[in-house]
Amino acid sequence: MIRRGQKLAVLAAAVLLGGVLVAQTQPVEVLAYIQPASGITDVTQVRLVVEVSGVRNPQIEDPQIGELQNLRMLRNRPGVEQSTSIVNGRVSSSYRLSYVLLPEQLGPASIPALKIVVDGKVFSTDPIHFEVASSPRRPLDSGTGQGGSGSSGNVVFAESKLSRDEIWVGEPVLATASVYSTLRVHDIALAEIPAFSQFLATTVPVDINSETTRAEIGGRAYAVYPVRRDLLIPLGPGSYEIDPYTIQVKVQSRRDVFDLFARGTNVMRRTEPLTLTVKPLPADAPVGFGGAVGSFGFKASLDRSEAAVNDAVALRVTVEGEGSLQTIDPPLWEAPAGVKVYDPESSLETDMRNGRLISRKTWEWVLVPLAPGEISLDALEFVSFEPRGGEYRTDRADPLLLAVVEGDGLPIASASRDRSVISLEQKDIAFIKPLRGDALAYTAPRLYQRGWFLSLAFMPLFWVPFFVWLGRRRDLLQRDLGLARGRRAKRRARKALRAIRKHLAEDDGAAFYEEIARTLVSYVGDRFNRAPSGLTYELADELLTGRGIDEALRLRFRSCLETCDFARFVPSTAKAERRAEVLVEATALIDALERAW
Amino acid sequence: MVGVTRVVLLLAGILLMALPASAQTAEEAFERGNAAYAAGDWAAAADEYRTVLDYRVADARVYYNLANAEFRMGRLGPSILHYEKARRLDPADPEIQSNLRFVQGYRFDRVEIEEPFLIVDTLHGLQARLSIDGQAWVLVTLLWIAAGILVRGLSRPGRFGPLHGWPLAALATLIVLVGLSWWDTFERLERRELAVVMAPAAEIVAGPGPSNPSLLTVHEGLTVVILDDRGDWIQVSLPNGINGWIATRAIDRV
Repeated sequence: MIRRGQKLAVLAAAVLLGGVLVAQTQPVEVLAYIQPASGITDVTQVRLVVEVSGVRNPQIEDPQIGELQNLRMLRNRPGVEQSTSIVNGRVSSSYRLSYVLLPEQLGPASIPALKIVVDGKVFSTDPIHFEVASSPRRPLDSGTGQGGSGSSGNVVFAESKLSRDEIWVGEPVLATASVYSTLRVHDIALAEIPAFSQFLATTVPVDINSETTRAEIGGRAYAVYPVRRDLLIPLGPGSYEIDPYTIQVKVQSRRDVFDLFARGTNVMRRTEPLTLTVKPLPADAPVGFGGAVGSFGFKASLDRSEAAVNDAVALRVTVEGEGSLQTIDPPLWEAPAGVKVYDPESSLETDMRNGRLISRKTWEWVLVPLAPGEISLDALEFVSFEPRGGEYRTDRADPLLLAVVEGDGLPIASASRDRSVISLEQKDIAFIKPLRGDALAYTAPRLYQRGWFLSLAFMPLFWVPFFVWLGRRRDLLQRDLGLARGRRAKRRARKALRAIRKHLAEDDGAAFYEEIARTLVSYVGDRFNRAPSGLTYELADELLTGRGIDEALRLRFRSCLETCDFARFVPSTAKAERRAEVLVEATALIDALERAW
Repeated sequence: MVGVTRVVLLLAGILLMALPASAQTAEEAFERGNAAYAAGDWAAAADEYRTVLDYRVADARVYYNLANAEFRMGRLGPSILHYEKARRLDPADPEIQSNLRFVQGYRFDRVEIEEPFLIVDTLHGLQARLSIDGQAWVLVTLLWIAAGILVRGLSRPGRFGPLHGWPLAALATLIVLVGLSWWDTFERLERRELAVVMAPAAEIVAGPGPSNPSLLTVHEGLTVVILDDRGDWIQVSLPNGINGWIATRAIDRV
């Protein structure tokens, strides 16, 4: 049984190995083709596919694509796909590199033979030739939109138009690109926009959702989607051809209506080129013409009618109307004598109303009158070119009068913005400060620069530990009376001996020796926290022995006590010299015992 | 011997006379300056205030009055410089602040200064009112109180309890806050070195030397922060955050 199973396993492995070998020995093929293969029009997005098959995980270098004829590439980087399939045990893999191309015009188009390097080996494809046919741009031209959904009766096309075909230099014109569709549109994207190299171009925002309209063309209802608006201002005269817009539209075909998972179909649409004639402005431009072409109003004003010498006064000139004011020069005017004029600041606002460009430009000069008197600004005029009438127009402002009075010698305000802010805050500086009897402050270091203050700041670092130790010691002595008594023993003994010394010269020798003996015994009693009354000499000696006091010292102690006793009872020995010796000995004994403790 | 004694007595007399005389002169000069200012003689007033400063007076009132006189004479840079000096000495004085703001409105350079948050503004106001020395006193007082509580709690084993712990924690928090506030005040008002552009116009260049490319032009009265000093050239930070170098002769330090 085992042997039979082993045979089956070996057989299966051999089959698998054979399959792998078959797969590996499959020849490598490189193929180039286009999608769609036929029916290509000038708005069809052509997909060039380079397919490599018969090799797994190949190293493929991007193919060198030669000169395309009547085609241009929309993206330089190819899209990459990989697929693997097993058919009848045969494993096959393929890799596809795809490029998006767009026809440039009607007529023959070709893609040259491609050279591609796969795993270091060079392969070559065949060249591809095809014909670019005319696309149906108008619904009336054809019932179908080629490159679109392909269903009969569905039309998608793109259209661009100019607001005017003939304009003057400097006059704005609006170019609008729109998509017309009878199908539901999922998405619209601009693939290419014209270069507008001869124009000053500004994109006007478009809201497709709110601006979509309906139109009926040839009895068919279309949804019209505005895709792009460009405001163009020609920089010079001439006849200009504006390149087409190319727009990618994702539409839903009728067939997709019943397909819940349909994601729409991309179609590419291109508008027709547009032609615009730009007329030169008449040569007899008046002095002061700054390039304004349009219908404008003009006004000038001063922000005040009275000012002091050296005050800043704002002269505002506003031009407003239909047309572009983007590049125009400020109006020329001559400053009257006795006025300093600073360079103007300008601001521009634009708006689109019903497809017309409305502009408003304001210049503001700061004037500083240098002498009192009345100043008249009466040469303010604005020259523009009126395109409807085809002639230049000069607007003059009413004379502006400024009464200038003596100033207060203040510096000149440099900008009107500053001046307005100042006038809102206060009229003038606050008055000087009096002394009011206070002495003036003299130069003195700050607190942190003074040594005594730093000492004061860091002193707690020292006194906190000291007082904590002191408090704890005092507490300990209060709680342990024996310890406290022991620590006071020497002090008390010395105090007693000093008192005895005062009576050294007195005749009462017995009392002297009695006091000496009592002091010595009391010292031992204090040290061992014992009552002196119950302390015999033997007991004192025993306690000292227990404390480890050496024998010689103990003997001296005992001897001193016995000397005192003897002297008390044999008064003849109690001479003054002897008493002094005993006192010295007692003092020395106390010191020696303290040291030995 | 008699000669030496005479000389010593003479010197002592001169010294005794000179001390009160100088103190009186500074205050008298200040009063004379105020009188001249009130009479509209700005130049005489400014001279008197400068005389006061010669006595090593460091009083915000002198700088403030001098700044007023300079402004009246149309000298924008010196006016702003002296207001800044007055502000450094008395940062809480509202008149110094408002006059400085007013005069700064006459600068050629437009400076956008962001309004600080209300809480920051209030804290800075409190710091200015208390002054850096006042905060130092508060800090040391708190330290001593905390040290006293610590001694009281630790001087007997087992005594330290909540009656010591909570006040000590509160005091420690206060000490940290006041300490941070003192440090912030120190950094803003003491350590940061300001200067005012005195030249009508001065180039801000990319490096310390005239051969460096010019970044922009600043004008009289602009207050800058000094970052570095290389003798003839000083690295400064402008109010809008731009850093560059300016010739030392074009500015005066606050």
